[in-house]
Amino acid sequence: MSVETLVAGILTGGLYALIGLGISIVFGVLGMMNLAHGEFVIGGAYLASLLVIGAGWDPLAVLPLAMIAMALIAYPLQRYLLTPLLRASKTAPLVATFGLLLLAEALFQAAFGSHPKSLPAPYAAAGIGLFGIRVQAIYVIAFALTVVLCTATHLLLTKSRAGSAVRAAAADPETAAILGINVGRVYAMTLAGAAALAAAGGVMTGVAQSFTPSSGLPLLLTGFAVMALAGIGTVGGVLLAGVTLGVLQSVAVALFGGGWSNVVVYLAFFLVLAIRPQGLFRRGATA
Amino acid sequence: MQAITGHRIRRRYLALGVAAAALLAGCASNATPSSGGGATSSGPVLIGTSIALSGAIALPQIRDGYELALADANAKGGIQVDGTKRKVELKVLDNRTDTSTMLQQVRTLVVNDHVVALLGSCCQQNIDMEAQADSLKVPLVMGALPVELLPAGNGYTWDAFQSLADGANGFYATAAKAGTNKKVLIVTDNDAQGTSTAQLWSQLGKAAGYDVVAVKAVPSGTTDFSNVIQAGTSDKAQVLVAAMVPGDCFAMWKQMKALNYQPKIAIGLQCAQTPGWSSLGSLGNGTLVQMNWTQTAGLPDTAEVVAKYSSKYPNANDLGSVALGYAEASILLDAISRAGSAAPSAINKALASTDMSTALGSVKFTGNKSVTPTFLGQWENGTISQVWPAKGGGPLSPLSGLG
Repeated sequence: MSVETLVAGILTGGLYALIGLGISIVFGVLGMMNLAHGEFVIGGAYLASLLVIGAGWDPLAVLPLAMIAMALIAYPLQRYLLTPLLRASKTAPLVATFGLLLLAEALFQAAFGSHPKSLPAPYAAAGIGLFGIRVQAIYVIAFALTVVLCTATHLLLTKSRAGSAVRAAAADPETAAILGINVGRVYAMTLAGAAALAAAGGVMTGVAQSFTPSSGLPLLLTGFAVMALAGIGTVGGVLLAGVTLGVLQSVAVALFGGGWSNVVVYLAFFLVLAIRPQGLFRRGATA
Repeated sequence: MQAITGHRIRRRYLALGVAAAALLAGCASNATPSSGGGATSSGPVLIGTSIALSGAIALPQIRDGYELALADANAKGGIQVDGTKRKVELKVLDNRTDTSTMLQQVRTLVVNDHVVALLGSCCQQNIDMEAQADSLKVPLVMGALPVELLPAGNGYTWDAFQSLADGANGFYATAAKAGTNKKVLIVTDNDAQGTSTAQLWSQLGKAAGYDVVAVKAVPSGTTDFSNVIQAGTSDKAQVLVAAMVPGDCFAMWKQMKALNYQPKIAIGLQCAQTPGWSSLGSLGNGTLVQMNWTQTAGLPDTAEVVAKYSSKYPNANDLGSVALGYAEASILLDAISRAGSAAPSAINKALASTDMSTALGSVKFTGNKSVTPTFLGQWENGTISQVWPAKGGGPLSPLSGLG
């Protein structure tokens, strides 16, 4: 096993973490499985493509706009559709987000066609030296972006007044509401934030790889695996889980061949769920 | 205690969510409306297709070709069946590029809708569809599957398409002009089609005097090709054959450029056929693509296909897919007319004696296969130009995108 294999795994894992972060936050705060998360990722990529392919903008310049746009789309979805469903039943939002997934996929196909797209950028196919080996610049950028966004998310959740409200709503929404926290608004802001993070992952995916209307589902499953490895409610754990998954995948491919890349993801997912359901990077639940 | 209970509940939701996500691919399908009608009906003759119109592969072009052939036939009053002219109707089901959905839809088309014959989808799905057609004893006419890849069946599947061998021989002949060291790296998807492609291109490469230094198989959806590129670099392979789904080639081409792997000639089987290849920008320049149709090759019905679909599909390969669908449906309609019957067995018998000119060239089946011409095109600034064979083709350009 070479250093190249490990570094490639770590950098790819950064992108996985960026995709998994939003799923983990939504599940941690709302207790809701967002099956449409992959569509938020791809939605970010498609929104970015409007300015990148359509007007020649740089993807990194478009990134904040794509994040804001996805947040603006997600906020009313949570506020006026998913939260009322969540109050009625824990499983209803699951079905609703499944519907959103199908709807988004159909909309992407109708609006953008079914052919794969890629976001062109000077750094998309550029290489740089790192620890004496050559790596793709875009994965280094994506990793750095993930670290920045994970840090910002962690600080927001732990050091800000808004973060306190989010944690209170996550721990006990009824008590939080009695204390004057607008739980519906907190939930909507949470999904909006997760969608913004997903959009960032989408732009990076679009530059590093490609995307089609159906790319969201495999990204969703990768995000689930990251969340299961990380455990709920641990932002740093998401980053570590993404990196762990990336390295596992990279090592498995190097040792056993390409056919093992997906096997490792799902094996890790189910093993962690079965043996350590609180995740690898979270302390065990206590009575 | 509350923490544990909450944790268990969340775990249940997590498992539920994952199960739901895993089921998504096979949960939906779209169908165009149809009034139905089988062999004994006096209404329209109904044929059916379960085709990938969404998901990993989307082929509305082939469907459009099917519908163009039916529109042509119906404009002439229909086809002669049981002594009367009957209109033809096509029931289209979108299988979302999901094999189990496709298998279920084919069964539904035959058992519930009583279609008298089937038209194919693409690639691996066509291989999987063959067994279903055989077991249901309904003729299936397909293209989009190189003839070498059609497994021996029970005689109900008819494949009129190009040959991988022709494409490989054309590629190696073209590569001889590129001044390479004749060392070849082959990377394919790890499904049955990918494995067969790798074996055939390896054999033909060796026969053409090339040294196949590495053969790699990857699952569809791979994004990290560092071990493949490492093999190409360390073995100094200057000839690259990639047979993968488009997204994989996109990722690999970017990674090759970033890691300074610079083959002198490269072909993207399946993957470089998508018009989306142009979104790679200059990175895609010089990549070769195997084609079943070109506008400059002088094939029959080219003018009609171009006139009706060039505004909808500006890309040459998309138009080729329309021509493919047009040819497949024309073959089937011709067989139904010659059978003079809408009975599947009679249609199947008539297909065996097909001898006609189609939008892909002459079609005459031998062992349920008919080889149509192959062409090689090359991407340059968002368009594809024929570079092989010489008739109708232009000069080969360097692989500048990866240079």
